[in-house]
Amino acid sequence: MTRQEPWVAAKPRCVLLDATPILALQATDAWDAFTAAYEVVVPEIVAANEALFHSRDGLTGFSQSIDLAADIESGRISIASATVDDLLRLNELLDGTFDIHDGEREALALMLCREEYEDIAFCCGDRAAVYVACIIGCGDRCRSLEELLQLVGQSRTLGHSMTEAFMDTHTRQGSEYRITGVGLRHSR
Amino acid sequence: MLQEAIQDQFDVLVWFMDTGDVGSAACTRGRFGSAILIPTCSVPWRRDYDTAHELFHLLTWDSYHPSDVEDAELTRKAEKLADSFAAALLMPAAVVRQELAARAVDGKVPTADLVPLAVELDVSFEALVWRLLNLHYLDAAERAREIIEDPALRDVDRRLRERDRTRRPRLPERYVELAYAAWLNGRLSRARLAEYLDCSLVDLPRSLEDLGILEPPEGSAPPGAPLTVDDLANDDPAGTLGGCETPLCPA
Repeated sequence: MTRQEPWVAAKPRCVLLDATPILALQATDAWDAFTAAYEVVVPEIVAANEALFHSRDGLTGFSQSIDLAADIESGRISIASATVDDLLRLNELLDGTFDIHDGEREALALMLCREEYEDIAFCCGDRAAVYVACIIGCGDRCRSLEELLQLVGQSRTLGHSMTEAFMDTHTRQGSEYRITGVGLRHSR
Repeated sequence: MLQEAIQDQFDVLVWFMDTGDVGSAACTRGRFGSAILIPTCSVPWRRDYDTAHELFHLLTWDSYHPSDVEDAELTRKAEKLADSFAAALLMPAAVVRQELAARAVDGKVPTADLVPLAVELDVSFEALVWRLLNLHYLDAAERAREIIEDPALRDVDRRLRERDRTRRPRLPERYVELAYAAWLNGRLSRARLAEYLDCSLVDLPRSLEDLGILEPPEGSAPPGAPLTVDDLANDDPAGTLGGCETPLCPA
């Protein structure tokens, strides 16, 4: 698959699909640099699901809340909401082979249905979500966190699911699924 | 544990759910197999009893189940049979006889000894006393009621079970394994897996560990080791979508 530059805005944009990239950015102290470099959009369900946003305290091992509210308030990140119609349109395409979180589903519905997000990159570290992005035709907008950080001169040691190798493997696999109709309600 | 035994040996999924004030235990059978629902708010010994009661309904599913019958008398009779079945399953006559014999002094068992016996069998004190009546160790229902309502015995019962009262049910092992295998196969997202296992994403590795699945740190698996998280980039999900389950790497 030829991967095109996913952004045309003066400042490249990025959807943080699930909590994983946010957690990785927080864990590697790259959150501030990342949000300064990108216009970060977080699906409302992901942002609202406080249970997902916890970081592990390095000393005690106990979870701590990550306060996204301050970032939203200050405009460092923005929130996007999919409508019921957007979600229905996405659901109509899928046959349920891949079971993704509602936050991931909202992000994909936004990418699929909204013109304003046509050029948005989709950053995620989860195979199932990447597969679904590919089978609905948004695979060329999937970006690994590693790549996005490198594009703005940041380098961090990341878990495998955040790497370019992971994204390459699974966008390729997802593209095969799209061609063969795996995961699509009406196979071609 | 009864729940574990029927899950492991008979593939009956036992599921715990907060059903609020209105919920009671229930069971169903379908294309997916058999399943029992137990309210989380029930005390542990009640969960076992409810499981055994629902097991009766599953065993008799083809001949009778309450949702298909409007005859109140028949339903009442079936519920009574289910209770008797549960009592016999959790307190087999031979076990009760043996336990009473071990506690007997001059051929008699002090009623105070019945409380620890009920705790040991993981049944309610009330259930044990009714079982003793049905096994003819007590001569009348009135005597059973006297024992059940004895304030001193009730107090001992409450104190002995204080610690167990808050024992939370674990997620069904098979459910956890299936959810984890679905994630390993790329059919379930990790955030969804966390949701299914009722924990946050960051706490997922620890929760999995508590549930018996140890995730190695990324990049640490040696070549040739059983499939782990690290294999995700190199595996062949297309092959697994055909229905072949990926082996798990349990702790």
